[in-house]
Amino acid sequence: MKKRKLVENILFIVGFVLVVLYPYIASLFGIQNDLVGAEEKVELSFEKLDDYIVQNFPGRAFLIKTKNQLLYSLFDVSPNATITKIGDTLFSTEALNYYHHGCHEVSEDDVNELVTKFRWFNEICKAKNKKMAILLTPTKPRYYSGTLSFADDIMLAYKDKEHILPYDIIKKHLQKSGLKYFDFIEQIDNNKNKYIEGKVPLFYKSGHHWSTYKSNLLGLDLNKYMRKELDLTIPHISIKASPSEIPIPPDADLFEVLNIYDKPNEKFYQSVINYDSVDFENLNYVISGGSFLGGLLLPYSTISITGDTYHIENKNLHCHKYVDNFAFESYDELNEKHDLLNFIKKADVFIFEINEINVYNATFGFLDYMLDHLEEI
Amino acid sequence: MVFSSPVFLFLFLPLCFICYAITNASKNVKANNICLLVFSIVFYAYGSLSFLPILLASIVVNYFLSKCTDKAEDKKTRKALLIISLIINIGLLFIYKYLNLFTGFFFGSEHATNIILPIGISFYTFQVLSYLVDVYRKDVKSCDNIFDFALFTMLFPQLIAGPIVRYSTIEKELKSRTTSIDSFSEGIKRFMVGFAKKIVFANALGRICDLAFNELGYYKMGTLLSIFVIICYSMQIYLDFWAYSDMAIGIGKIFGFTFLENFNNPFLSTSISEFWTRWHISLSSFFKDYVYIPLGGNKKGLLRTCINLTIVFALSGFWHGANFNFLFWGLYNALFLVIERIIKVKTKFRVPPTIGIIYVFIVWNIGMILFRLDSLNQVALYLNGLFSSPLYNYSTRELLNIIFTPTFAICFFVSVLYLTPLFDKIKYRLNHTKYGYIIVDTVIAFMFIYAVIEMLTSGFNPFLYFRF
Repeated sequence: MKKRKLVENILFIVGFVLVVLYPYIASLFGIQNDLVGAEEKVELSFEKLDDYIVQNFPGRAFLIKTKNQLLYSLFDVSPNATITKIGDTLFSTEALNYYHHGCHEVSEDDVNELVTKFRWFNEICKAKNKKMAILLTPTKPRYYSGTLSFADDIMLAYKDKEHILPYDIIKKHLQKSGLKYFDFIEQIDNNKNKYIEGKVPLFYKSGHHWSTYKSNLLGLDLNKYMRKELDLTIPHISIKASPSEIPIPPDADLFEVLNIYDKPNEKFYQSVINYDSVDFENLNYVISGGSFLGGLLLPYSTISITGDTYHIENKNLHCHKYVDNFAFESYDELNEKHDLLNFIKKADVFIFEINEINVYNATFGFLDYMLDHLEEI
Repeated sequence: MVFSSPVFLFLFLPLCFICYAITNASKNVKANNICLLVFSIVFYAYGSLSFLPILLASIVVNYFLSKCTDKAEDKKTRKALLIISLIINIGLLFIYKYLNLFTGFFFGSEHATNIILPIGISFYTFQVLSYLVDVYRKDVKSCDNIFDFALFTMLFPQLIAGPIVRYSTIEKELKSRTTSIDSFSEGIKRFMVGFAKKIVFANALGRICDLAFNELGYYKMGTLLSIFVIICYSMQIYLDFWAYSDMAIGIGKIFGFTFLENFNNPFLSTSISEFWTRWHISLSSFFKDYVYIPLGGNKKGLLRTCINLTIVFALSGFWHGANFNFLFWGLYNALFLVIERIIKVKTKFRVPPTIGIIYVFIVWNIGMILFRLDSLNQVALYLNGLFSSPLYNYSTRELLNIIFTPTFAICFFVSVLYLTPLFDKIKYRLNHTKYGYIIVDTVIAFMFIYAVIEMLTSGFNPFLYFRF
């Protein structure tokens, strides 16, 4: 009995010591994995030492992937709080919140102010012989509205029946303003057999953004719109879907951010792009918008239809035909380092994308910045 | 520094073990004490460096006061020294813990002082007070070595969140103690259980409470959510505090100290008075021995007993936090104790145990509303929310989505079982079978490893690179 107890105690102590020594063992044997997704970086400081140590803990990535995989396999749930799994479909939690319960509520006054600013800017563009386009883009839950979590089921019973989404508000104000805009939500609704049905989904179950192929197709509609409404000369393009062994970014972006060992269980497609004509104007574009624009513009950016581009996406600048990317803190900084106002001055076309989730934060303050510096542009 | 942090687990604790093992090899308890004292100072200084001088000064002053009290033959001198000690210690506690509240109350919030509360002051002040009174009463001899006294006050396992250890409990162990593989292993197991309780269960419940109280709007949750959230909060407080006591007792055991238990299945109590003999036992016994009994206890008639209970629980409530809500929480508890006392003395009515347990659970949980919220106005809003329909919005959705995940459901279920002695009974039975201990050890090891992983990974919720 005594011997048994001794063995038990020694085993336990050894086990405990091994756990406590894990970071040193992980460093020694190089236990590491790659993680996908953006995590706020913690700077080394005395106040945040614990957080810093956690973030830079040796072998942490291995622990994260193993734990995530366990939770995913055992309980069939998303191990990431920013992603919600309903059935076999992943959603950005923020997008679900927007669609079902209208987070970041937007008032009529806010939207009216935004649209008024667009009207001013459009007048300035006209006076300077520049073109401006506003694009409204959708979010995934709109096309999976029948897929609800248990919480949504409960909440729908209490949801305000006349709840209006920010999208409905901005659309109403844009219509009233007489501004030209291209509504992809309407475009998809009017062409359901083209965009929603068919072998390639508009949104993959494992992705947040619209699928590469369908967004490229929608890019063709944008092409037509720009030629017709903005009178721009840009090339004719045709696109075909071709099966792909691996998901084309960002088709399975949500799944990748789960950080598990599994692979997404979907059939993925890539776009095969043909350029029917190469006669186009060498225009300079200023683009403000989020990542939904990526799919729309891909067919054009690959053949460099533009003279040059300044694409501002939140706190990132993609420029020089998408060759260079810079992160920035303020537009003043961007102007200082990358001559933003000067580029705006020589730009021919302004494109503003507003994703329906981001009506509350449309253009990330970029429109205000330009209106504040009218003399310089 | 807290036990459930990586700095403690992966840096402080291994270093402390190594140094202690070296000093322990010399078989010199003084070397062991100095080693623990140095680590206790580091433990406190980490995150509270600016308050370290206050603690050290308090140790020096109290050490000499206790020596003087012990040496004084004259009763008047002893009493005068005790009063000086009480004024200094309670005065310090008042200045650092309550001055903001009272200056705000009497002169308006704009004229309130803005003094930061030194971590652990409530615990170490009471610990020292108990020692000074014991010396005055000649229940214990004053400590003859300032380093031992400093270690008694600062011993890191119980320094910042108790249990409040009496000098008599560890007096002998300060002078002579042994550590064996058995006690080391038992200590580690106790620590691991506490660690898992805190990280896996208390934190899961805490996430719900934080979301509900901080983001959702505690007064808009509707009946069911309001009840559910306050039960979660009550369980979180219990598991959190119990876990800390487990870890403190476990670490103490590793170094050869035996601290008394701080919790004894409080939710099995059939009355609020019984509850307080099972909940935060070290605090309850402090108030009993140093306030309630000196006031006359229950020896001076029913009315005086009721007044004494009210005084004790008003003080106990205020000890928990510098806010009038805590005072009301203490008085709320006193109310039930007084009612129970009157019923006990005046009638032969006895509540059946099951009904008693339900009664205690309900009364305690309602009391937790006072404990959690900051003002009576907020409490009124919360109670109003109990009888209103819920506001369903972004936060409610998030809250419901967490509640309905299998992982939370399991955590909640296990937490409920923790309110009962079920796990202790299972452990006892298994440990008394031939191979049952293997199951117990495996479960403890698994829970601990999971808790460590959870500690290191729970904050990792990356978002997409929303880039072109």
